[in-house]
Amino acid sequence: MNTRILPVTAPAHSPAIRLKDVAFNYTEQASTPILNIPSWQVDEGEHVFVVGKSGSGKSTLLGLLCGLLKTDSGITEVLGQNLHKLSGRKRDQFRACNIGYVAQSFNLIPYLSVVDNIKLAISFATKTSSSTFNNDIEALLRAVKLPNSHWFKPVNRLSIGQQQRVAIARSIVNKPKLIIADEPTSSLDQSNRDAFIEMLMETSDQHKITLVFVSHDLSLRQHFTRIDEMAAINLVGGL
Amino acid sequence: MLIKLAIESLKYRKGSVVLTCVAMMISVFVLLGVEHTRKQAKDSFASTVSGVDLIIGARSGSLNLLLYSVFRIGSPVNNISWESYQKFKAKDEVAWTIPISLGDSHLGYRVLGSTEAYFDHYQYGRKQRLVFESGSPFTSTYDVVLGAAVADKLDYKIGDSLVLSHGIAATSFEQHTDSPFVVKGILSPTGTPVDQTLHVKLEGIEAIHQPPNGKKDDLQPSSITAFIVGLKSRMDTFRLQREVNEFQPEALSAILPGVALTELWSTMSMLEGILRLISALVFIAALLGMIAMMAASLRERSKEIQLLRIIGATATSLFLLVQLEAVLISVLSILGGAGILALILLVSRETISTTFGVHLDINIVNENTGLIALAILITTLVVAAFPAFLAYRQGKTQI
Repeated sequence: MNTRILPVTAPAHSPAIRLKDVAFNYTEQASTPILNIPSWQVDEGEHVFVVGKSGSGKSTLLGLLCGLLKTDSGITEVLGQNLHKLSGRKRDQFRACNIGYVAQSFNLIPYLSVVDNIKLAISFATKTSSSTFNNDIEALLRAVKLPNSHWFKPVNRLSIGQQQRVAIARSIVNKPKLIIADEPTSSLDQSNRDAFIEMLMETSDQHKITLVFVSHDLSLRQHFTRIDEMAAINLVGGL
Repeated sequence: MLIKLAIESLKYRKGSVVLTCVAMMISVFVLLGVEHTRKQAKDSFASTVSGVDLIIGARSGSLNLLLYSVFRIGSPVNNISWESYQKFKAKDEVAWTIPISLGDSHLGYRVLGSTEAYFDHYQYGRKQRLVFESGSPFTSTYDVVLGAAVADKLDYKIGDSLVLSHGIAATSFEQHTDSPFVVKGILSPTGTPVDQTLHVKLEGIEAIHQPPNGKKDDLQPSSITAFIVGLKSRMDTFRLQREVNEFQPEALSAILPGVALTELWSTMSMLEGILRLISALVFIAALLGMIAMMAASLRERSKEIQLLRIIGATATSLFLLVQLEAVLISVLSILGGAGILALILLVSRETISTTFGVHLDINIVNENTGLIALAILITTLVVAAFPAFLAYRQGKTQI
């Protein structure tokens, strides 16, 4: 497996993600933690492909990175913010403004239209309700090549491939510096998967967004320069 | 945007939301209906008789006397003699009297025998006098003056002739077919039992009861059912009341309409309380149904909640979302329930008016119903805090 040795010392420019001595448990009583990460770092603008089997702590790691979970110990620094020093509300706000998230499925509220789904994401990031349809949204939807006849349709009338493309548009609408993608292609067929990954790469390159891409599908690794094994990041999984 | 999300989310779950709304609507309808009818019945009763100092009839409970003499509900226990009436009518402190003779009907409407004094002195509402829509008061024995509803329902016009029957059933075997009466006047609507009454002279009542081939020249009534008294000075009210109650030749009762009405309300207050309790319980049952529906839906919405959290919703926004949905259902149900009530009132007010003599207003928007709507909303907010808290906790713990 093409695993890279992680740099111990921080590079000259600040890293996008820096984890140090992170241990995590869902319950206080559990004897062995789910996560035990001595050190893991992702540089700004880097695209990382994280490979891991289910149960290797992937979801927990992603939960920590986007601030839905809080560490018991260590440093969880994302985009220069030590997340476990922030209050729950601050972490929610941080996530809304700085992190784009694309999951395997259910990325959009099924009964809202494409445009309303994007407006909803804007409303959580800005806290202002001036969510009118504007040029930004239009440009985004054109960028992900969604025909404009679909813009005001409820998303559950779109194909899965189209929905995942809208998910990309939704994830970058608040101009985040980090995109977390959790198995985003596993519900797509071959042609849709290639189109999706190209679009994701193009978009994150264009906006200089750091990308953490989690998947078990090794055929996708050709798109990435850096590939990390979950087992190498999380010592619990390796035991 | 949260409001839009709430609205769309309710639309998405139409089936269960509509059922919940219907249950809530019915409960709101019951709540508002009971309150409105109660208030209107009170107002209607209170406005039926005005400017009357005493009502005098045969010895009975004051409620019974009030109900049969003014509201045409129930039957008199006994008549009072013409002599007793004349005796009190002649008293110095008495300004006017209206004799009342009941017991006959025409196609289900009560016939009331009286004198011209009825049209001169009878008052309702805020001291309003009876007004003629057309025609004039009766002058001869076979003249009849119709209440507005009678003329309207039976489609009678001035000059039409009709037959009065003995007894008060809608169809009587004993029709006095040989005594045709002629419509002399039609009264304007009053919203009181007067609308449902046919008025004839006391002599007319006597004529109905004459044998077909009997002589018809002596129509002097020998008795009446009751009479209404207006005094020159209200100071004399209690003295005259005592005098009537102690009247020796005949057992009589004199009542003050206001006092009797208060007595009526206190009799009813127990019933009112039970009605209110039942309608409140119906509402609580519907509310619990809504809460159960919302709590159950949280399970199937777990992915939605997860997504909202991922795109930056705070757990508090989830709490607010559920509360908003509850309030929307509640507001919809209040509007729907009020709509149903207004519709049912519109359709049934005529029947209620004819059957019970209670005039119901269709306009249900008033201080009372506003307070009830407010109470419904507040209760909804309080009770919906439970599923809202579940959503909050789900947002906090689930990744």
